[in-house]
Amino acid sequence: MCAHIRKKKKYKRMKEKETLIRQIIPLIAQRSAKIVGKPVPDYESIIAKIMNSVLIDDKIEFDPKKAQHVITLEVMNYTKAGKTFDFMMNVPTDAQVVAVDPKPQAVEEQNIVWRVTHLKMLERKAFRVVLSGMDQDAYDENELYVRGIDPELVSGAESFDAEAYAAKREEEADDEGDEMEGDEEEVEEAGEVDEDLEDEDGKGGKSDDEEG
Amino acid sequence: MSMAKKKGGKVAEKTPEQLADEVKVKKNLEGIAAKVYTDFTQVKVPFYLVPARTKSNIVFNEKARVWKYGDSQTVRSAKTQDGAYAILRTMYSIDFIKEMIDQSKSSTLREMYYISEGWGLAKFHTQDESDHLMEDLEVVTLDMREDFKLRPEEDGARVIGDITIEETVRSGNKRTINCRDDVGDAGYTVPYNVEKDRIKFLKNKCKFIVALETGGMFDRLVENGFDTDFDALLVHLKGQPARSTRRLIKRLNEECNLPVICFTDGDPWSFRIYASVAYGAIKTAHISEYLATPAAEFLGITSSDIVNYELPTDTLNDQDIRALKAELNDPRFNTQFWKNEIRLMLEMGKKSEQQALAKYGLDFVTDTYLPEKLHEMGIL
Repeated sequence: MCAHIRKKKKYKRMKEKETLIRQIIPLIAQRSAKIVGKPVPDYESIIAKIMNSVLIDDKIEFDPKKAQHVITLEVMNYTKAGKTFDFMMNVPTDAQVVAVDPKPQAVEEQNIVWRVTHLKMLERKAFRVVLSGMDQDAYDENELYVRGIDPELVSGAESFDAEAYAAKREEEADDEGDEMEGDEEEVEEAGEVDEDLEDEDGKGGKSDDEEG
Repeated sequence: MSMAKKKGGKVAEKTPEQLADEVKVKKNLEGIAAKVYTDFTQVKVPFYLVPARTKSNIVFNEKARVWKYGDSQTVRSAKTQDGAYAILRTMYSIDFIKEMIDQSKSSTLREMYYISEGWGLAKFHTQDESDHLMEDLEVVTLDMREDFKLRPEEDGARVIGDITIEETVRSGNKRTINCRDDVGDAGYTVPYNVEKDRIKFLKNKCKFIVALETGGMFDRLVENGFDTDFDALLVHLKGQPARSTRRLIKRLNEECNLPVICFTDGDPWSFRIYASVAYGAIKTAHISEYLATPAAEFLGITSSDIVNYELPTDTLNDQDIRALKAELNDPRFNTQFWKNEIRLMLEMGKKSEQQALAKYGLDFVTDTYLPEKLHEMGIL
């Protein structure tokens, strides 16, 4: 969980940096060109050099009319070299895949797998997935993975590790089982809490009486 | 012949020297932009180097006898967000300064800060940021901010004493002023530009300069006639002195051979005021040889004065103690005299003000304290 939070923070930092760098570097290039009286130099390579990362952006929208989750993903290569790797998105077990664009290379267990080939420096690639069968609130975060690329270079997706992935699924399955059993306990606990609260209210009532 | 800015309806012509200076300044500034531009064309992340403006990077310059920046350098690189902002602001500032030079305009540092409001992402968030960047530009180009057509707010430091100066006024005409007889009690106000082309010393009858930290003590000495009784030139430092005040003191010391005595409060901050007059301030160490007066001596209030004169005191607060301890590591205070003074103050846990001398009456400072101390120092 800690690693997940750390990665999220790193991703947030990278996104902020990207926004700023994409704005500031062109301005520096333009202004320095104005001062020296020369044409604006190419600055895209400098942006890639500074970012040195593959950024993955994702967005989830819910279409209430069709009761579908529309997921848009974008991979941006902010490194100096071209990149080839697998990009994967996990589909929840209770969801049905309505559409995937572009067509994936494979579906491994619950993962849609796209082969991203020769993504050039500063090139973007967009993906779209439509899922149905889930309540709006049941799906608010994508589980994204990459494979075949230095994970340190990637922000916005985790490195795919088959063993860790299997363990995670197993853990989730166990959790789901526990939750089913735990639901009743929670109701009971909630009842106890309510009683406690009533007790406290009772004390409060007594003090009110005393004041009266 | 190019025209300078309008002055009271007149248009003053720029001299060939001024024009040559402006070309040099613009070239120096363009050099920074050219470095950044070349970095882009060579696919290098833009950066430039600035000498580190820290206490640990000031070294004593034997020739000038002042403290100047050493070899440590700080990198401003577009690789980091802060660095990218710094470079962006540098580019906008250079462009703005070039425009001012071309249009024969000038602005205050405050105006410079407000002008950046229209620079979008390049805008400064505080005046400290813009002032700091201007100092960076000075350090890198070895030009002065006056060359960039930037001037500070008038700070109103004052001078009283029997010295006659010739000042070039706004109209371009020259006027002669005696700083004792032609001024009111407030004295002659030090302008921001005190260079030779603006101020000439015509006749001097003063024997030494007393640089005073507070306005209260300046007024006390004036009211008591100390300047006339002792042929002293009184300069009000007004706290940490402005560059022009320090520059004026240095010129008076060198051109009129006037010894300089600093008379400040007795606390760690006042020690720093003396240090900036005598040795140079850390943030302006790149121009110490223009501003610092190595011959300046510290008269008081010393820690020993607090003891010897049994002066009323205040307890040192945490900030004072931290400042004193920092001074023990400040190379400018690395002398036996200062180490003793600082340690004694820390030991006592007390500080005192100049005006605490009033404990013995309003004339004590001019009748007793200053004459005693000046005798000790060999000035009288």
